[in-house]
Amino acid sequence: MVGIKSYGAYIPKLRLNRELIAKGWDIPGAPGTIAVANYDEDSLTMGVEAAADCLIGFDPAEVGGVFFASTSAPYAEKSAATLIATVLDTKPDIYTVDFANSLRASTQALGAALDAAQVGKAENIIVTSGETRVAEPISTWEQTLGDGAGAVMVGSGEGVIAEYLGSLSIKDEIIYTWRRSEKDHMVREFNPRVAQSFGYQKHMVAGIKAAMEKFDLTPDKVARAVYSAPDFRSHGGVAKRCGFDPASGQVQDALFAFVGGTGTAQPLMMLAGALQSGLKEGDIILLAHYADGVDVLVFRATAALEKLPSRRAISGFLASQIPLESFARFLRYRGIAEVPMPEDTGTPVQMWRDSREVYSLHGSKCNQCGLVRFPMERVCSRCKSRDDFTEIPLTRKGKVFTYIHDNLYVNAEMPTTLAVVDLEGGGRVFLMMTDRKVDEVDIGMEVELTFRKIHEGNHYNNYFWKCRPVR
Amino acid sequence: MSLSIHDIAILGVGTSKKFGEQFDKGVDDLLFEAGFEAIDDAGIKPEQIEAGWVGIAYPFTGLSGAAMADPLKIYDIPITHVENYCCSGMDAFRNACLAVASGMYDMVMACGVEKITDQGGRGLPGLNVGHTVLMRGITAPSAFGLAFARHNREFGLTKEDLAHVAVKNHYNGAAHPRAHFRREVTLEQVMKAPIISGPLGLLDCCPISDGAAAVVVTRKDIAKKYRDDFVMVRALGLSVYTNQLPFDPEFDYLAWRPTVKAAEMAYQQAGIENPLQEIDLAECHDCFTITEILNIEDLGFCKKGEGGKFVREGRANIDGDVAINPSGGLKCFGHPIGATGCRMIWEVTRQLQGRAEGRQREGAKIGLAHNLGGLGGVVCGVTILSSDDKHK
Repeated sequence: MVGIKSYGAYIPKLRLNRELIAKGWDIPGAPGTIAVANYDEDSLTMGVEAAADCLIGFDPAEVGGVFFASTSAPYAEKSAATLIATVLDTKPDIYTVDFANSLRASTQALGAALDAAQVGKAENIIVTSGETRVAEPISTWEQTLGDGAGAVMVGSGEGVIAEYLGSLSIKDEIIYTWRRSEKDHMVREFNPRVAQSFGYQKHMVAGIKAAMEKFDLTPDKVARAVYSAPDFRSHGGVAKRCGFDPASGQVQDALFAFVGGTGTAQPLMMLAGALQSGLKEGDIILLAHYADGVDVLVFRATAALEKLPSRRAISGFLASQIPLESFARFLRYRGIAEVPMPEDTGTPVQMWRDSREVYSLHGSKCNQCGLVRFPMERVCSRCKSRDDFTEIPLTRKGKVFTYIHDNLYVNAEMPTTLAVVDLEGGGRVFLMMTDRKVDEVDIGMEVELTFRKIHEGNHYNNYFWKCRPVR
Repeated sequence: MSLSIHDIAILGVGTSKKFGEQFDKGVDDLLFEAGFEAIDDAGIKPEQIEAGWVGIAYPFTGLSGAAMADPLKIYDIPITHVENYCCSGMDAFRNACLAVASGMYDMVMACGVEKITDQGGRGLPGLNVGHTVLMRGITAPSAFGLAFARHNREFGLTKEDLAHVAVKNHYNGAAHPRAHFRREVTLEQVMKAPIISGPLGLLDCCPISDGAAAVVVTRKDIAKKYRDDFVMVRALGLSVYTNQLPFDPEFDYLAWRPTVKAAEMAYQQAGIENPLQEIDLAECHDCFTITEILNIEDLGFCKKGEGGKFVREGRANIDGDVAINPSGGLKCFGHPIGATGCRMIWEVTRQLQGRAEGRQREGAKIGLAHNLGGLGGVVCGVTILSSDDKHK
């Protein structure tokens, strides 16, 4: 049996009320919020978060592959999946693949992962997708798009929580939304009404119907219809035409109300939401995603689903939020308002040499006195034993030993909260604190580590860890 | 002849004419002023200098011994560039003393200089060097200010306690013709100043200053031939801890460990058993008001946790139990990084000679200079000087 073995999701803590966008431009506003990646987040860091959520209850050493899907990956030439695997601290001999250039990259990655598991190419493949698309100011997309990430783990055997029954794809060449490589920072569109009717709706309905026929299903036999949509209104039109009853809870929430359209990540986020919602053994899940065509994948929940340890996924991350009260900051974080920053320095040589510390968060544990240190030390600072330590993964949570809110460091968010954190199980780290309210920070507060972009010195992304209040 | 550091005398001292923002002066101008003032004060000729040590913390200020050789045109002698963070100047002085004590040289110069205002930006430049991502976000005030939350939790230290340090040091420095700032500040002004980092407002932080200082060092028997009021060295403590301070699980943020260790060394060398009773004045590293509070405790002038009270009660005033920072300290006098250690030696020397340019500690016989460096206390020098006859 091949299928999904775990799921996870990530929603940035910052939420921008759509009214703030409306007020910013003196235009009508829609209700609800959009989730906004903080200044130190990108599709890769969110992909890490969703993958980490997905790994709850699993040992990273069991992971046999990491697939990353995004149209907003930080690099056009450099793998994000490989860095994500390193941060997740997987074994080195795993299969890492990056899927890009189509909003359907996530379902393509999922399909490829299922195929790989089926033929025994890899086992326990994490498919994670993060997205941060930028909309043109004042366009309808500005109030529609949101940031987020979703992940599933694909594999075989006893642990499968949703058995893969098969898939179906239909291509659809249409110029709906696009961004030209290296030319467009923001999403472009031409005539949304043509694309909505003849692109999205037509093909989504056709794909779902074809899949139901192929797998001998009727609408009432689908326990959960998990189909994405480019926007809120388009989503609503599909249900009736497929014979689904939204009032019964049969149609999975597309997250437009409080998160927004998360592009590539949307189907995996919705799937995580569905798997988190109390589905029972035997329930049929129909996953469908559209962009220049439609991918439909059909799963059947197993008894193992109920045994999976709980995680935050959609409901947990949705509930944990901070309002983003400044529209100007939103424009800055999306790169629309460019604020000059002092140049920082970075050396990829150091990042490479120290990757087990900087990315995988490994420390040293003295074999003589047990002192745990980060970064690793060859001479124990306490008992002075020399080259007599064990490299260990540090826990990614701890308590604040001391802190300060600093206004001098030039940062996109002021003040910069700095914290000295004692990690559970040993080791002390000095980190910036993110996704926090200034007045909630105190000695003894529990924090968790989160992988973030620190700066762009030397024109590459210098990622490292920060801490945040437990979400 | 067997020599020790107790045979070492300060023969002459000098500084740049001003400390502060000196846009119209270059590094060489500052060291020219300080170096020749020290040479003239010593009553010697430049060619009598046999060796030199120059404290500079930042590469942009200068590199190598030539940084001292060029402004003074003292060529063809050994000169060493000393870098030990904010303690560079005091370590230059320590090396000069040890060289004379070794018997190798009779007459040497220690100096220090920093020219920071040629650089742009906010705060101290260049704190990002070292590692590509570790320690990102740290600033000088936050590195020291991280101690506040712990001190507040353990001992109830308040922002107002910190403010008293600034008020005291500005009171002293306002009277000093060479100080960066020549004005007093009120408790209210300090409390209401814009916040820089945590509890530290603008008036809790030392300024970005340019300046230089120089000291001519010789042996006691030689000094006697030049002047009667030379000053004797009684202790040269220096202690280095770690650059990994906020990653050290054993660091409690309640005391600056290098201060404690360097003070232990210095008191042992000088035979001081009760610092509060025996020491008349101390130039104490007050880059931030919180730094001075911890240092006062770490130097043994009061119990741990009572530093705030000690200052609040006026015991650190110019006429208190021990005058802490009679010059105005880094806070008011200014802090040209590499120069500060030698500047402290300059101030303590002149206090012990009874010729302080600012506020004079009456009857000062034993003075201490304490110079702390690094982000949160990595290096510390404690020097004890004496005008006491029994050491002459």
